[in-house]
Amino acid sequence: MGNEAKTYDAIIVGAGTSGSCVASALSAAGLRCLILEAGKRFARDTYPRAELDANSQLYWGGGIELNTDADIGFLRARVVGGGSIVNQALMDRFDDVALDSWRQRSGVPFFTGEAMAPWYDKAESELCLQYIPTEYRNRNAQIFAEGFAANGYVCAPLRRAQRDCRFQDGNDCIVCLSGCPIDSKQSMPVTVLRRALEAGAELRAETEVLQVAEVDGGVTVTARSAGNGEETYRAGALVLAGGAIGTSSLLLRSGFAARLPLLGRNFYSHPQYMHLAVYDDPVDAHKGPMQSLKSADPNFRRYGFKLENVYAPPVAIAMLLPGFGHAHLERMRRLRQFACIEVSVRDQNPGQVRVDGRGQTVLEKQLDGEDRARRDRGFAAVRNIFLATGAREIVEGSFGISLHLMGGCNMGTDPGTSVVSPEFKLHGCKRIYATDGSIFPDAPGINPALTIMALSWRAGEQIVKDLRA
Amino acid sequence: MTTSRWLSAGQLRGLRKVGDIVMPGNDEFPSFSQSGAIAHVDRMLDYVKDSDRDGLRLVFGLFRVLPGPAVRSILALSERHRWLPGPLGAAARQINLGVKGVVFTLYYSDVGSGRSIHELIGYDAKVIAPAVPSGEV
Ligand SMILES: Cc1cc2nc3c(=O)[nH]c(=O)nc-3n(C[C@H](O)[C@H](O)[C@H](O)COP(=O)(O)OP(=O)(O)OC[C@H]3O[C@@H](n4cnc5c(N)ncnc54)[C@H](O)[C@@H]3O)c2cc1C
Repeated sequence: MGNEAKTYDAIIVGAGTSGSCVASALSAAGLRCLILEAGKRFARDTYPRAELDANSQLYWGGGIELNTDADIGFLRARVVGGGSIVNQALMDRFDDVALDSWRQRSGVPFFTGEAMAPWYDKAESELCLQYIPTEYRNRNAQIFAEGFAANGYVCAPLRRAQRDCRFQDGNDCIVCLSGCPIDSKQSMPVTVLRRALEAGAELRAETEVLQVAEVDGGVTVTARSAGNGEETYRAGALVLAGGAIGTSSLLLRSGFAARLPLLGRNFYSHPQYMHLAVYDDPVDAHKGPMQSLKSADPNFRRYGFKLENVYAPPVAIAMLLPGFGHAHLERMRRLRQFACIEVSVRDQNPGQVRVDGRGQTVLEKQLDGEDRARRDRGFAAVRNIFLATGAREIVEGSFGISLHLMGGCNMGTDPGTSVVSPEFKLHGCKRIYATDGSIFPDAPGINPALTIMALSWRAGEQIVKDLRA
Repeated sequence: MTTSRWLSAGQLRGLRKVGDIVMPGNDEFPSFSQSGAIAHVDRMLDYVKDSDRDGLRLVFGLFRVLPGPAVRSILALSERHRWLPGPLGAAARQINLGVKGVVFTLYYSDVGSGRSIHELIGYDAKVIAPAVPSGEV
């Protein structure tokens, strides 16, 4: 680009769930967008397949980032498509419990089921959504269902963004945790991002944004890319969609803490604890649809946890087992006999994203007494399920895994208690927007991706309006 | 002989030593060093944060000079992280996760040269991909 730097109507940081939706909305309206993404761009036949390569090439930090206590690991995608490449594509709307809490905390009037409905409709219309057919449920899901029934708990089928997983061919969805090889999973590159690019949006992968600033009449963005070194881009507006940790740490590195005192605070993550149980017969939890069922028990919701029917590939399972040596190997030899259930905590004690003196991201996140009580109630329910279905041994998860990264730039009407306005602008800025999971006011206790999409469509409409004004 | 862009010959020896304590192998399973997976260590270290890589270098360098039983004791102590107070517990967890993270990732990713580890543990996940390669998105 050199001196002939192109200027854009908008620069979008992050080609993940949110960035793709905003880019699509803006480019459909005829605006010139540049999307800058730190991660690589893969296609269905080039996604890394060995767990070693997938962990290192699709995630920040070479696979996992730890909190300061090293008892919670954060999985944060770094790839074109962001979380939509590595996630399980479970798509839920928020219920009144979540939206009422958001409205009360933030003062934002559109956090209601009614006001969000058109945006959820829009988000859903961009994806093919299916329930997992009952006939393909694997034994892990059956154990989940049987254990729920035996204990009088309520569970429900999962809705997933998928088009044609061809379970009849014996396909196993666990493979798609490192990118779907048949483009069935409705990730952003095969849905929304594809449409944004077709409408003229420009995408630069392997380009990490280092600094952003609002200048007279626009914004500047400094980024480092694999081939070209550091470059500065200019635009009329900047949309931050780097995810909760990415957006918060980028703003902190760019010196916004002085004018936004709550920046990086109110960080939530739904810490999840995977429990394994060993059965006499093979369970083959890795076969077919990896997840088919979720808890839908009103008591669980009230107590602040949910259970998920899940599994993970061998490296991840090995890491969850305590010990090493012969005892460890003896357990891994029985991998096919493992069932797995996860407790997901609706965390209410917020953490903080910080940046240290060397510019490194620091994640402070702990469970408080209430969060631990939520987790332990979940543990008790899992034990009941496993014991009711003939488990020989239960390995309780002690390490929290956080996949739902939310907050850090919470939305609200009051600049004293929030970072982003209901118009998706940073308080005190005219041209910088945040649209991703960072704007969540608290932890909803529900899968966040569909709501991130819905809010991003709404933000897209707002940004188009502002840029045309 | 395995070489690495990130680990010296001594640090690789430390990794092999602790690897064989974590994954000693038996009649059926190869040990960590027998699996040959260590040859692929750079495939993960290339992507690890500088500070984490420095930590791993330090630990593997230390393990090289310590006798096997001492390495085993450190690992065993790190397993007891839940009972160690504050920063000590955090440090123990970091060592435990770091060491097991490298060893398990290499071993169970099934990238080694010998018998397939996935086959041995019965992990056969697959998706039958169409013959036609995809174009650019
Ligand atoms: C294993 C896993 C399973 C999950 N399963 C589900 C599920 O089933 N259902 C659900 O609802 N949610 C799920 N999630 C969570 C969901 O994927 C995320 O909540 C969602 O993708 C977050 O969207 P986002 O736009 O905030 O960020 P992301 O989708 O993470 O996108 C952010 C992008 O910005 C890029 N970026 C960050 N900083 C910079 C920078 N400085 N410069 C350039 N680029 C940058 C990142 O590399 C990334 O690609 C899962 C997550 C994981 C990891």
